[in-house]
Amino acid sequence: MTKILSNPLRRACVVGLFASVLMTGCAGYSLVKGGEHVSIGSMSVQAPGDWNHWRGGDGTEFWTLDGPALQHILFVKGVGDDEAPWPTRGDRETVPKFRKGMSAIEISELVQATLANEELQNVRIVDLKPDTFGGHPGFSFTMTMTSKKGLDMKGLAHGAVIKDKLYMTIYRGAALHFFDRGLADYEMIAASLRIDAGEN
Amino acid sequence: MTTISAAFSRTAAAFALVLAAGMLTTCKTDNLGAYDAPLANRQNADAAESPPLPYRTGDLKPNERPAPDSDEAGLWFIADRAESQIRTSGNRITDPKINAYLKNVVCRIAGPHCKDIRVYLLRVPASNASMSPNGTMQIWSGFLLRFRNEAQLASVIGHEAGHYLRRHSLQRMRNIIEQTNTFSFLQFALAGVGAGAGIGILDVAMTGGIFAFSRDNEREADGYGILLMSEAGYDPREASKMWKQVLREEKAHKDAESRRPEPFSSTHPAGEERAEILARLATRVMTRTSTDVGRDRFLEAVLPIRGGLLRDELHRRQFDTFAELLDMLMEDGANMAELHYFKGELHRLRGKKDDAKIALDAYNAAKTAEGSAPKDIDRSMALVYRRLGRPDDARAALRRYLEANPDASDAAIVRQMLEGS
Amino acid sequence: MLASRIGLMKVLVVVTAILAGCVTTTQQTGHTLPKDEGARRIIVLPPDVELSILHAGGVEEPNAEWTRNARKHIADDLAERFRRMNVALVNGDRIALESAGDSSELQLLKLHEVVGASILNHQYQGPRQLPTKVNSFDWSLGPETRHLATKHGGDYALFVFVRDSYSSDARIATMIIAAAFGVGIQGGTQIGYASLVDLRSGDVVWFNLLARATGDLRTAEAVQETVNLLLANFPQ
Repeated sequence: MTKILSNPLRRACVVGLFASVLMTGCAGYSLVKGGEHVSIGSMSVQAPGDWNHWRGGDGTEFWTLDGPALQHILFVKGVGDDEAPWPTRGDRETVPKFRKGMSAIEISELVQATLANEELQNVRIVDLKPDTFGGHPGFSFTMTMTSKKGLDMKGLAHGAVIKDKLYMTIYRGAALHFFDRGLADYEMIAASLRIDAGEN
Repeated sequence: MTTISAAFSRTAAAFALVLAAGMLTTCKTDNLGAYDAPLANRQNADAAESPPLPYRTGDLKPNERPAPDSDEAGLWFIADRAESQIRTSGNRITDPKINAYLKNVVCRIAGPHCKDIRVYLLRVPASNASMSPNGTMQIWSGFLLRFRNEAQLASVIGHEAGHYLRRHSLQRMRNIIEQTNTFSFLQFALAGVGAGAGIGILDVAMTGGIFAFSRDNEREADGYGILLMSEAGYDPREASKMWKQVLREEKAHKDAESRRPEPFSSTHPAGEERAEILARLATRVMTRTSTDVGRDRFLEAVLPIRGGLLRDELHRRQFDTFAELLDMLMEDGANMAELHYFKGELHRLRGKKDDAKIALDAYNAAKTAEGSAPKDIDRSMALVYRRLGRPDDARAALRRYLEANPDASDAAIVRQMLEGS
Repeated sequence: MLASRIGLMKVLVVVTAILAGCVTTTQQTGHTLPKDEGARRIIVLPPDVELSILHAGGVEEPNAEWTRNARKHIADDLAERFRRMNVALVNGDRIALESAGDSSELQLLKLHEVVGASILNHQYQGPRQLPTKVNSFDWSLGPETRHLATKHGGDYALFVFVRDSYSSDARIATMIIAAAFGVGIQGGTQIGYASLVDLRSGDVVWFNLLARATGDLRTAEAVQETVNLLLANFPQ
């Protein structure tokens, strides 16, 4: 299981158990129909096909077809200076953080270190190159890695820094079947995504 | 099931600092209790009388397997299953050379039990090693990185072998079952508040008792570690030295913590006493032949993979302890270029006041020092020059990077940086 | 010596068992096995089974002897069952993490582990159910599974996973006392799943979940009853 799912869920469950708080509106999956436009922070995305949209209590948002352990698209929704790119477990002081002025190389290192923090093994960044993202000049890179249990994974990420904030989509999945299963959709999503950084 | 497996992996987490905390407070007299048991057993080996063993567990004999209908067989069954996961796990370091080296040291320490113990090196940047009841020994890469010589490695292997020989997992499992049974009334209360049959909660409630039991196991294993290493011809004083290294890093961490208030910042005064007792035990077991330290052999085996282990430490972003670790390794002085490079990386990534300058100095030192730094050093220097507002130097460094790495997988973005700012 | 399922049955009448009512739930694609006997060979992977004693304090202690016997009973039962169904059973005992010979076989085993866990997490009703999966059962390991088909000579692969626990006498006593105070404490349980993968497409064509507070895997007769449930609605 990826931590992305279990962490917010565990927190939600603990809250639910002790405070008898209803979980609705706190964390869970919702359906995104193909063709639908969805806002994720200040990003707007059009879904090429049906996807499941997770909104975590900690602000984590991702899309998946078969569950996050098999494949998912993580959205990095405008992360500011000295903030972690996405919520992970671990000491707040030591989780890798974004700093304004970072180059694409440094951002790829940041993603690599954050994934290593999630106990992904042998995370390698390959083919880091300039690209456009959300209509802005940015970068993209691919990744290979292995889950802690030993399942080979692949990744593909796009991102840009706009007004000192980091926006990214990070797609990863099992190298066997599941990465390829969502890849075409992911590429359409990354290409059609728009960012309105004005109000940030 | 999960409870037991979690429990034995925790027991087996021999040098886990948490377990070590508060362990040795009562050991100021010359009666070293469980520490002495291995030596006393050895001396009484011929005598038929031996002290009553906890939970009716005698030492495992070479090639011994549990009786099929025993509780021990159940424990081995889940340990076997866990082992097949470890063997194929994503974080196992499979490099044949380092594995052959570790196995060699295991055999030197464990002698007739050589075949019974299988050692796995796992990529985890933390100081730990563990032992399963069936002879699965795990050594974490972060621990390997922190040893200074083969004798220190041997002390840990000896400690783990002690857990195995004395069947500590079995003792612990029986102890846990007994203790949780005694307190099974707790479940009434838990069920009453709607928690169900939550063994996890019970387990937490019981940790005091379980931890108290394991202290003796740890002491006994320490005693074994030092005895076995000495018998194998290693200098037993290295066990205590290794503990002092661990403490030094801990202290660096604690000093940093004390500068920012943390509710659970733990202190380990007992660690120092443990190092002290190990030093005293060393004088007892030391012989004229136990003098081998094996620094060169150790470095020859570890240096080829050390860069990767240092990279893992860097990813942890524990800058204070990493700085202390690098200082210690620099004192040892093998492949200094690599160490200076990682010192540069540390300061580049920390990015606080003055860090950029320190990083630059470290990279420059790496370029002239003995050994070899990773091939992307010029790229790192370029990133620091950019920070310092020195675009011309940054461009020059990027050009050097491309020259040295024409097929770099980030060449496209580097070229863009050269054209831009 | 420690466990008695009969006692548990009596207690269950009194206590409120968490799993009461829930026995098996099948998910399937409506797939049927081909008529041609040469195209319906099923590779049976080593059943991942564990039998344990549930102690009074809630600790589950695995029992190696029960487990070994249960594996043999399950294997025998499956052989007999498939013989009656005119399905050729291919022995897949060597297809396991501890003996997997090549890396793509190992990766497929690891993948099936994650897919099985994902089905349990995301197919069934609950907070983690995926909306796209609500009205369909659509899971696949992908066509790489052909590697297993070619290497071992089979058309399907059957995976079986069971965790079966039995209350100790002391646990039962605790449950009875608790029940007297109106408090329900869970006794031994039997949970597991089985999945059938079509190795030509990689599709999981049938998946069955078993969860109950009864059942036994310690004798051949009892195993038959359990396997009946575990293979409920198995494709014909």
